[in-house]
This record gives sequence, structure tokens and C-alpha cells, in this order.
Amino acid sequence: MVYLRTGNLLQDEENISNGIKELIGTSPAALQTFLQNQQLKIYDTVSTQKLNSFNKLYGDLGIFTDDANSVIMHQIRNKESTELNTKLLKEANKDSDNLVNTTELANRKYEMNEWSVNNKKDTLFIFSMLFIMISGLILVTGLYKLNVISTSFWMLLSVPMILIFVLTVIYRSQYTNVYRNKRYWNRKRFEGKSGTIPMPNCANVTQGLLDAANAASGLVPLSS
Amino acid sequence: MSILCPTDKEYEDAALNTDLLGPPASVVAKPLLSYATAYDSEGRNPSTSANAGMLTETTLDTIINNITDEKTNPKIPTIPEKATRKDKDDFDIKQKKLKDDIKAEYEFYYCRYIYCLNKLFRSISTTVPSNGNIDTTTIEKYLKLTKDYNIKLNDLIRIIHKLNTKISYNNTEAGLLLKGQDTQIEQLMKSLKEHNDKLSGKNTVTNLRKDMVKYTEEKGRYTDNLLKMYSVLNIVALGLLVYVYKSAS
Repeated sequence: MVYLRTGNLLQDEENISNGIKELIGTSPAALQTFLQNQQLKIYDTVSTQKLNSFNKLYGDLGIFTDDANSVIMHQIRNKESTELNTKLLKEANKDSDNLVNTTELANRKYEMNEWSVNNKKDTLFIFSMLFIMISGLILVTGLYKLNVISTSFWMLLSVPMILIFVLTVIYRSQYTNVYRNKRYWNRKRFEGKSGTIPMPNCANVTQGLLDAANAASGLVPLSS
Repeated sequence: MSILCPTDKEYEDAALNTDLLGPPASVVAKPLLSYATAYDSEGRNPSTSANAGMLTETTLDTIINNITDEKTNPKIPTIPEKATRKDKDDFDIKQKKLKDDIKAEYEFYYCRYIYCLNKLFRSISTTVPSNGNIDTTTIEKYLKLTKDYNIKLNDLIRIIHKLNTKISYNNTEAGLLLKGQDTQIEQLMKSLKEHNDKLSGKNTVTNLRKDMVKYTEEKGRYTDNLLKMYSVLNIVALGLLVYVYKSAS
């Protein structure tokens, strides 16, 4: 801000005129000295004032340009920060996608393992059943060889055991190959062969709903 | 910051009159007052007003607009909307040039003003009281020069002041823009944090799934062992059955 020190100049002017009035009647030398002193004083005041005004403005200019400098640095910082955050966000999105894929993959692997384990357990059931059947056959064959039981009784005991085992193997094999869901072990496939749950056919209600929908869309007037 | 004028330098009258037109290009390439030359005869306050003879606000605005027009005068620094490191370097160079030019221009006029003022006072003090003869020609010459240089200095001061105001206003405007950018960054950070939180949540689910896969694999190995054991048992049992069947016969 520039301030014109007009008050001081007027004061100086008044002092000068008072000095001149006092000295005008005495001697020209004293008058000259007085005028020189006053001129020097005015000269110093004016030059200092001009310099001070400029110094103040120049200092302000320095402050404002420094301020602008800091604003630019702030903008650069903001720009870099935004770029960095955007990059991080993109990376996070990518990580998120990867994670979803990994989760889905792990889930599918879990399902496959579960199906495989259950299939092995089914085989284990057949194996254990075979073992039981063979053990039974060994027992009845041993009794038969020791002549404890007759041939017909041996046949009567052995054939059902073998038959039960064979039928069980066939049934389970068929069930797994044809009816069992290929993804979830404990689900059965129907494939539309078992029919659907019948829905009640309410003609009046259906018509009413259709009329209401048509009226709402303004296509057909509501039927009476 | 101080301005030092040469005390022993004598300026020629013709040079003083020429210098009123502005410093040469070797001192300042494009002086600030060169933008005000068109307003010398007009665009100043009337003699009856408080700031008589000074440039009017409208004139100053026009001058500042011309000065800060980057296309016509690229040395005046302005804040670009999306600053880069290069802009910062350009700005540093421009602002240094501007400050140096302003100082050189003010120094140019100030030293001549001081010289003329000094000459004026000297001519008054040496002629008036000594013999009563007044050297009106010399006094009027230096009075006019002093007055003209004073006007130049006043114009320059007012232009610098207005330029400061303009830069300050630009800073404030840019500051408001920064606030918007700060808010945007805060939102981005918030979004990033939310994303990370979600990601760590998803990570837990993924780890659970991976553990479940490991569990089923373990279960599979356990069932494999049982299968192998039963295979051996069945072979042994079958052998035993054949042995029992054949032994007694």
C-alpha cells in the first residue's frame, strides 16, 4: 500500500515559510544556510519516502510470488498424489479381481476334491463290502469243507451274498454314472424326467392381472 | 533491498529528456511503464480529485491486464491450472526476471529523479539568495524533469501495487482450486481405504477356501490309504478263499 505523506510536506512548507520570515530581515548568508538545510531535509525525506514505498511494494511482490510458488508446489503435490492414489486404486481393483478369481478357483477345487473324495469313499464302501462278502464266503466254504453244512446250504448262503454284492455294485455304478450330479456329490440329476410341480390355473386372477398391467401402460382400456 | 545511485554521475539534459521515454532494452527488455504510455494524456485523475494526475483504477486495470496477458508478455508469471515440475521451473525463471526487471526499471527512474531533484534544489539555493537574480530557465527545466520523473515513479509504484493485488488475487483463486483438489484427494484416499478394507475381508474368505481345499486334499489322502489297505485285505481274503476251497479237496 502506498501512503502519500502530504501532511509532512505541508508541515515542512510551513516551517520553511516561518524560517524565511524570521531570516529575511537579518542576513542573506543565514537565509541561504537555512534554505539549504531545509532543501536537504526535503530532499532526504522525499528520496527516503520514494525508496521506502518501493521497498514495501517490492517486498510484497516477493511475498506474493513466493505464495504463488507455494501454490504451484501444492498443485504439483496434489497432481502427483492424485496420480499415485489413482494408480493404487487401479492396483487394488486388479488385486480384488485376482482375489475373486483365486477365491472362485479355490472354491471349484474344493468342490472337485469333495466329489473325488466321496467317489473314493464309495469305492471304499464297495471294497469293504467285497471284503465282508469274501470273509463270509471263506466262512461258509470252510464250514462246507469241514462237512458242517451241505452243498445246497453252502449254495443257499453263498449265492445271495454274491448276488447282493453284484447288485449293489451295479446299482451304485449306475447311480453315479447316470443320476449323480457331476458337481455336487450329494445331489441327484433329474434332467426334466421327473416332471414339474403343478401350479393352480386361476383364469380370473390371471385375466385381472393382465388387465391391470395393460391399463397401467395405457395400451388397452380396463375391461368391464 | 536498497537502491544505490551513482553520486558523481552527471546526466546530460538531452539524455534526461530521452530517458523519460523509458530505460533502454539493454537495461529492461519490456518495461512496465511501456504499457502505460498510451494513457499519458488520458486515463488520469483530474486535477480536482484527491489523487490528481495519477492513473485511474480503470486505466490501471487495463494496463495490468495487458501486462499479465501471458501470450503477449510471457515474463509475467501466472499459475497454470495443472502445474507440472516444468511449470514450476518456468515460474521461477519468470518471477526472478520480473523482479529483476522491476528493480532495474525503478532504479533507472529513481536515480534520475534524485539527480533532477538535487539539481533543482542546488539551482534554487545558489541563485536565489546570492544576488537576487533568479535562473528561471534552469529551475523550470529541472522542475519539469523532476515532476515528470516523479510521475513516472508514482505510475510505476501504482502499477507494481496493482500487480501485487493481481498476483495475490490469482493466489487466492488458485487456493480455492486447491481446496477442491484436496477434497478430491481425500475422497480418493477414503475410497482406497474402503477398497483395502474390502480386500482384506475378501482375503479372509480366500484363505478359508484355500484351507478347505487343503482339508479335502488331506481327506483324499486318508481315503487313498484306506483303499490301498482294503485292496490288500481283499487280495489276501480272495487268496484265503481259494486256499480254503482247495485245501480240503
